[in-house]
Parts: sequence; C-alpha cells; structure tokens
Amino acid sequence: MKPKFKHLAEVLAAAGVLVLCAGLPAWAQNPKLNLGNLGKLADKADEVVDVTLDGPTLKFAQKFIESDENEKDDAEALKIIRNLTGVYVKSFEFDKPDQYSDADVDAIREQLKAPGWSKLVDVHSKKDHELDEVYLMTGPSGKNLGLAVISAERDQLTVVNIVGPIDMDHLADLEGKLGIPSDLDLKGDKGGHHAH
Amino acid sequence: MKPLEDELRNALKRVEPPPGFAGRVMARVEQLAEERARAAAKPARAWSPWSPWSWFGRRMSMSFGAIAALAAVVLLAVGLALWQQHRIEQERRAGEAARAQLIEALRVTSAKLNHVRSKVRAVTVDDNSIPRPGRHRTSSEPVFDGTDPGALPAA
Repeated sequence: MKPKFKHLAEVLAAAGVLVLCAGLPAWAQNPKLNLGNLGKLADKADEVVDVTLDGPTLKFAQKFIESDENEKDDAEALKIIRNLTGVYVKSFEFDKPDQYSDADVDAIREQLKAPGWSKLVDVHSKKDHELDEVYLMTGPSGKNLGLAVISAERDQLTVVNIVGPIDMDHLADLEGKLGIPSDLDLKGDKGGHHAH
Repeated sequence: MKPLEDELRNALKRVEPPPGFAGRVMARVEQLAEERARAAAKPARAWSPWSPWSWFGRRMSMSFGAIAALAAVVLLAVGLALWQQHRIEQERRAGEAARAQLIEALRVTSAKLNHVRSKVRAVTVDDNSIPRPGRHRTSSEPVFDGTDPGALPAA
C-alpha cells in the first residue's frame, strides 16, 4: 500500500506545481501599479488630484452613475467604465518647476517593464523637459488588461493607471460625457479635441 | 345533687339590666337609622372624564398598558425610519463622492490621452517637415499615416 500512496503524493505534488505554474503568468500580469512613491509630492504641489477607486467603491460609483437618469444617454461612456476594476490617478501641479525628481518617474516606469506591458506612445522633449508615455497591458488572449499614462512637464506630473478592459479611443473621447467637461484646459493642447 | 341544683339556679336566675340600658339601645338604633338616611340622601359624585369612576377614566386606566405599548411601537418606528433615512443619505453622499472621484479620474485620463494625441500629432507633423532639435520620436512610437495623424492606435 505504501508505494501506491507515495505515487499518489507525487502525482498530487506535480499537479500542484502545474497549477501554480499555470497561474503564475496571470499573477505576474498585474496591471495595477504601485503609485505610493508619488504620495510625498502632494505636500509640494499646488493642485493635487488623487483618485484611488477599486473594488466595492468603484462598483458603487459605477452603479451610482448608471442609476443617474441624466447619464442614461452616455451609453458608450457607461460601457467603458462598467468593466473597469481599478482607477488610480495621481496628478500634481506645482507652482515652481522641478519639484519632482526623475527617480519619482523612473519608479513608475520600472514597473511598466514587467511582462505584459507595452509602450504605445513615447514622446520626449528634452528641451522642454517633457515626457508623455502611454502603456497598455495585454493578456495572453490579446485582451487589454490595463492602461498607464505618464505625463510629465516641468511643473506638473500625472500618472494614470486604469485596470480593466479598455478601449483607449473611447476613453479619450469621454470629454463631454458623464459630466466631464468638453473644454478641458490642457497645457500644450491649445488646439483642443472636443467630444462629439 | 343539691349543690348542682343550686349552681344551676344561680346561673340561670333572672338578672335585671342596669338602669338606662333600654334608653341607650334605642338611642343607638335611632343614630344608625339617621346615618343610613343621610348616606342615601348624599348627591352623586361630580362627573370628570379623568375620574377613575367615569367610563373613560376606567377605560383609560384599563388600557394604559396598551397605550404605552403603542407609543413605544410608534417611537421605534419613527426611530427606524429616521435611521433608515440617515443611512440612505450617507449612502447617497458616499455614492456622490465616489462618482465625483471616478468622473475626475476619467476627466484627467481623457485630458491626458488627448494631450498625448495632440503631441503625437505635432511630432508627426514636425517629422514630416523639419525635425526640431531636442524633440524625437522613439522607435517604439507608432507610425501614423497622413489621414489621421493624431489618432491613437486602436487598442
């Protein structure tokens, strides 16, 4: 009887390892970024937008928007937010330039070197000390799992991390929907893209 | 046998009442008759709704427990309704706050994506003419055709 049990234990152990290995890529592909290192910039910033929405709070907000009769017409916008599982935004505007360090940005960029993330857009301006990067995390099935945007200027830094299936074109077209103003004040975007 | 007979005779011999006994008895009888007559002639107690002898008073005193219980139930119901209202109000406020946060996050995201879009457009236009020093497009940057240079690649 003993050899049989030993064989069974080996089979179970092998199955466990297989299950762990199968789950590892999914675990490794976590589109949620750790933005904790940016928290210290809040003290220096003139204006701060700090949004952390996930789990029940995000679902609550989504339900609240869905139940709003005024938002019923924004079906497309509602469709975008319905599938999100996490929304994290840290945006700082400083009254003086160079209030954040390259290390602050690099800490975020390091995380975006993880498997699954791919850089979609990378615009640098060394002269103006500006940086704009857009990253997308794609799953093994080709499905979008998350989005990250880093936008840095001398006097402002914004990091956006959205977790969940995303249609970026729709996301950019959210202006004018769900109460988002269509005349957004964008530095360097004087041409302005207005929502339809 | 003689002594016994004597004892019986002594015990059962007629004793005359003390003088004035009959008069006192008759006076007492008359006094009781007068008291009865006075009680019968007394007017009825004045009516009051709260008097425990009145119908309402009797009802009230009888149903005091029921009224106290009813008041307790009403108080409990009012308290529950107020608590429920407070809870709904708190939930509404939390929902409004979460909604505002989400809208703000989407506003920033949308703004930044459009900002990047306009930058890409500017860079693409620049690349098509004369490259500007200090600004470069990296190899990973997507190449856009001329139809819609500002469009982000479809996700």
